[in-house]
Amino acid sequence: MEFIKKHTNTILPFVGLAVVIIVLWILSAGKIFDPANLNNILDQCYTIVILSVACSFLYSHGGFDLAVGGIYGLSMMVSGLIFLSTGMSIWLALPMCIVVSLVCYLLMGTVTVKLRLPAFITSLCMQFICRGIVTTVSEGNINLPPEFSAGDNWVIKIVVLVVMLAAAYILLHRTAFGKNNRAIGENDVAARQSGINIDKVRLIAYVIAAVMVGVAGFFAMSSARTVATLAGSGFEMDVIVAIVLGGMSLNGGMQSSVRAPIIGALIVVLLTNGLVIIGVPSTWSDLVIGVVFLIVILFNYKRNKLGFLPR
Amino acid sequence: MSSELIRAVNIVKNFGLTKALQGVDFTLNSGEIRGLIGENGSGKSTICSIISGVYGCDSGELFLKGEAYKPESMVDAQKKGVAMILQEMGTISGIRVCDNIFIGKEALFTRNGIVQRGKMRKAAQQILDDLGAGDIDAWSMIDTLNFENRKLVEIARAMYDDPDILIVDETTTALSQRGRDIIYRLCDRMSSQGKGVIFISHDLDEIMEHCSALTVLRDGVLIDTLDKNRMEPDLIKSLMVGREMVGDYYRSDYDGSYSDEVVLKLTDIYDGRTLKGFNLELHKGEILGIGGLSECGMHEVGRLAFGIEKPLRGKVTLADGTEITQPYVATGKRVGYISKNRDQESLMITATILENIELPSLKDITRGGLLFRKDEKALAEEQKKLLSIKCNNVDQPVKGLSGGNKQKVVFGRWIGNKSEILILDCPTRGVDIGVKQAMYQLMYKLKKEGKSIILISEELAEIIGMSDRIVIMKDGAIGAEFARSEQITEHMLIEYMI
Repeated sequence: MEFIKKHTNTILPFVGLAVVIIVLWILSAGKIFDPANLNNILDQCYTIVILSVACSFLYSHGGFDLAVGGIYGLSMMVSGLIFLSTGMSIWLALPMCIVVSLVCYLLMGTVTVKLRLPAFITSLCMQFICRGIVTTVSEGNINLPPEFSAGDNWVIKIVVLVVMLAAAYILLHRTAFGKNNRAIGENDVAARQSGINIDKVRLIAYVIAAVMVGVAGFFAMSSARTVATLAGSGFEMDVIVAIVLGGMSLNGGMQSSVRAPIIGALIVVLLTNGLVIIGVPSTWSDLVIGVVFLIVILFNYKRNKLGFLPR
Repeated sequence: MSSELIRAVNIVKNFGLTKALQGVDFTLNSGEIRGLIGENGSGKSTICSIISGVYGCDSGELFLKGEAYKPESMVDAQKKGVAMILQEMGTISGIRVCDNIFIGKEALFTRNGIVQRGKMRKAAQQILDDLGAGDIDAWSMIDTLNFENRKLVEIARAMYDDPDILIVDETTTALSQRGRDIIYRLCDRMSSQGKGVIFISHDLDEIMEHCSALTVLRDGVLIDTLDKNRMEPDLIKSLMVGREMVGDYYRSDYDGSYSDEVVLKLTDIYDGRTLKGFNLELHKGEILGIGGLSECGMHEVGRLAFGIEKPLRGKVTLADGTEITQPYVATGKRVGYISKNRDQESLMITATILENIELPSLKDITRGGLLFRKDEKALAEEQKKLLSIKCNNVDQPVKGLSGGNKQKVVFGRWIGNKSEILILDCPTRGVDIGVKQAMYQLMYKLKKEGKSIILISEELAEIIGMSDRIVIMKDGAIGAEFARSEQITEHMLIEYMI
């Protein structure tokens, strides 16, 4: 009991995930985990988990990322187009995605950090810019040749995922950088006065996020073998929901973790997908998710007397 | 014959396992200015918060002028004539002074649904004039005022309701002499009108000078109430601590020597506000005390020396020539800084003791790029032991600690970082006597180890008590300099301040 009391905040998201799985499983009469749908769910989880963990590096220092969907989409589109026009090896598309994502994140990060603009605004602008480029440059969806599915190999994908999440955990929890990053979210004035090079730490967080987003883009491309004009749109919201459902404050701070976005992302994907499977009209699923989100936030807010939105 | 204003009977209040008040009986009579003193965590703020309706008590009764009194909120208490001025900021930024004074009372000036702001401004100005703070323009934006003036605006707001009881919670600590005088005058006026004041302060001199009686609390128990002729510093101190103070309070020697080696140098500093061509040198093994009025620029000197603010011209350099441009440059060279706004600027208040202590030292305890729990724990435990930080364990959030223990955590952070130079801006503000003594002894020990300290303080007694060299600042320049000596008195220093 004592253990449960002390770790309620850690346990609750797991309980939430379990409840979501059980309820959807019963309501869909097991259909949600049919092989055909399972593949679907796994693909979505793969992407959203990585993007959420990536963004949590920004959220944990008190930042904000509304651009993740746009950057993810742009990195896929650019490397897709280059691949088609040059016929390079598909594995070169991976660094390609990472480079595009890095350029976007570094641009956004530098503007945010050096000019001291709110991340909320700069990332919103970046989102529009990326979306704008994608819709202007691409004429409809880009279809990739079958050999591109070489990247759609679950062994490789799992290995990459495990390595990335382990690295993310170590970076955020077990290095000076991670502690500093979270300290900035906790109190940036105190962090600065404790001798943290705030600008540098925040920029490193942008770089880490960029690499992860690029990787997610590459694997999404190879599994879909197409880049839709709308790829990634709305993902920034999924990420926010995931982080909060996972039990992390959007203000960041010392309590930020890698665990929260992972659990949260799984809940988000299962809910979105599961609602469709159990026959909730797709027009209604957003509404349901909105209500669930609101209830969870209210519950958490009342219990912890915490603020979830940026100060 | 004075009548009874408020009577509290057998008040008990617990916060979780902490017993904040254990059956306190307290009476305030009309015409009284009652000082309230006690170490941090003694319950003085708690009893006042209960009287002013911030929260309720677990058991016990309150009577206001003989009638049962149970305020539901601060607003309710104000309506019943009990106003409290809090330690923290209580004004709303982004709006004008008069809007702040009449917030929630706009209806008074409303005609046909429209607020007549001209009238409101006039009424607000009137209140400020009455208070003796007529130099504050009721029409100016609140953000253009400094901390002290905003505090006065808050007082003006409380006074408009014409309360019968005014509670002043450690407000004067952050104010200059002018602000303090305004508060003292206000207290005297209330007293002569047959009203009552409860005055919380850590400053013994202030209490002895202005209070008609003094109540001492310790560990949630009312120890004694002394009338004016029984107020003796030594008696009060021993009542507060519950034992005789052992050992020296400040350092006892008048040696005052330090090495000739300059470790930190401010050269020709212009900050665009107060400082115009400021120079200062800190030597190895020196405690350099800087005193003055709060607006004299001494706090800015501390912030500039640590790289928090950038000078427009001039530079801050260390012995090896490193120019300090950012705090991380300073900490990299083992310079530490304690801000006078501890909770806002020094601590991560919801993070743990361990996380707060290790923050600047993370690089030192990193092994192979990684942090290990064992090393982190060792660092924090060492400081906990060295400074005897009172806590259950180092993984406890600092927000649950008392002011003195919080300050120990900040000290621990820099000692843990092996600081060679410490810049302390009002390090003992809001800290009780027991912890103060421990900090003075610690500073002395650090000096003996050859560390250098800049002690910026509004408390002249501690500057005189601790410094090897005293610099008194006035209007952004050095007004006078004194070497350590038994002869220095506060009056000598004040002459150069004003």
